[in-house]
Amino acid sequence: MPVAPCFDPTTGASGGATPGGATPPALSVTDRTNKGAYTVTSGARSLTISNPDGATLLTTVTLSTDGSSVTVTDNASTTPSWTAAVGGADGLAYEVVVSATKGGATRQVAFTEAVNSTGLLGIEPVRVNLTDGTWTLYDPDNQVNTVSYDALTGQHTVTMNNGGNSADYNPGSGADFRGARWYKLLTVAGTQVDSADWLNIEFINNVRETASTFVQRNFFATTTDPTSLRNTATEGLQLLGSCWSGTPTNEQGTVAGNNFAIQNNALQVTQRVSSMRGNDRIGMAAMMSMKTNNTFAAANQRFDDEACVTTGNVYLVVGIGIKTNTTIITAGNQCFFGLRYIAHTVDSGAF
Amino acid sequence: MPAVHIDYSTVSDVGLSTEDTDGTRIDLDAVQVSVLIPRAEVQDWLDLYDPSSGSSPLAADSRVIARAVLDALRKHEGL
Repeated sequence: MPVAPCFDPTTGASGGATPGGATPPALSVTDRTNKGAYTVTSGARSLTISNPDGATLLTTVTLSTDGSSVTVTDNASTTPSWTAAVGGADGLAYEVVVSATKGGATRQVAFTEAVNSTGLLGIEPVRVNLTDGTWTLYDPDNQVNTVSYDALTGQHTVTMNNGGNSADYNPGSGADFRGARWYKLLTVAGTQVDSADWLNIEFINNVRETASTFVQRNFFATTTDPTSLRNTATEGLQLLGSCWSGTPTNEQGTVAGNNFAIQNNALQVTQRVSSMRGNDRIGMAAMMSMKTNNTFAAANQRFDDEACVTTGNVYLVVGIGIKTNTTIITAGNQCFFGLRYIAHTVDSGAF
Repeated sequence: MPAVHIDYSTVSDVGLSTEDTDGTRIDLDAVQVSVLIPRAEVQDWLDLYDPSSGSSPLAADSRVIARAVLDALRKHEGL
């Protein structure tokens, strides 16, 4: 004999009468209706169940994406509880079923609870490791001897050969830059970024300028031509991003095109540079640097509306240079930096 | 006589590598002072200046700009 459907018009709960004709027990859940869909925040979840007939209760929670069961505390009580995980990049959904059984008849209230995507909340930056095999070193004049990476601290140590002493190694001077640079294609969510894309990228650096043993002018930026030896406003590297220089000074700043701006503040530690580019143009970069307790230390910005001479693929580039044209690099000189970044592209469609 | 103003909120110590008006590369530590010339008075200023004349602009006209810049510099230096 088929089970006759039973529907409670008050609560929306559904159930079936038993073959013997038993009536399913009454059941309701505060702020929830059968087949409802709700959005909740991650963390502690609980229900308040009305069970006036004293039926046997069972609350089950299943993660929709993989069907796995979620542990429900007091799942046979009128106040079951569980923990909803953080939504992550794609969000989560839970199927919640509250059942009341008595005399062989069951009534259920089943609904969905979604946890919103965390979206842009608390994004973990990508940590740069120049030794991980994904970066290519281009060093036309053999300025770099070795680079090492400390996985615990995220810091690089670059040890130099004899060099410098020319405007060609100062990225802020002259029309050429022959300094060493590491580069790699920039992808976002597995997709190569193009110079036409609206790209936002934040560089988060811990660059330990005063520990350097030569007067450096280094950069962590984007470019469309990472191996170019030209470096003018209208050709070559056309950098956009962060820079730092100094020893014994402590200088952090921004670069757009071949124009650099740095602030000298002995207390600045962490450097955050937010940059925007797209439409096949260089773009703008703005910096906020912070002290050890993450309070504000200094800021500046640079922008360059020049068109990209080379269009297409966008690269990340980490360059090692000197601050003044006469800075001599002696073999064994070192500089130290830890680099992270967050990149995303934005739909440039019409408003 | 036309006027100028200073965007004092942006006066700061900065290390700059950039280009001068004539395209010459500049690479130095500096105090950056942004001079604001009212759009309505741009032509008045241009009329006061003959780049081919060694005595142009007149001292009195130049002083307007010079004092604005130097007052900002003095304030920045705490004088």
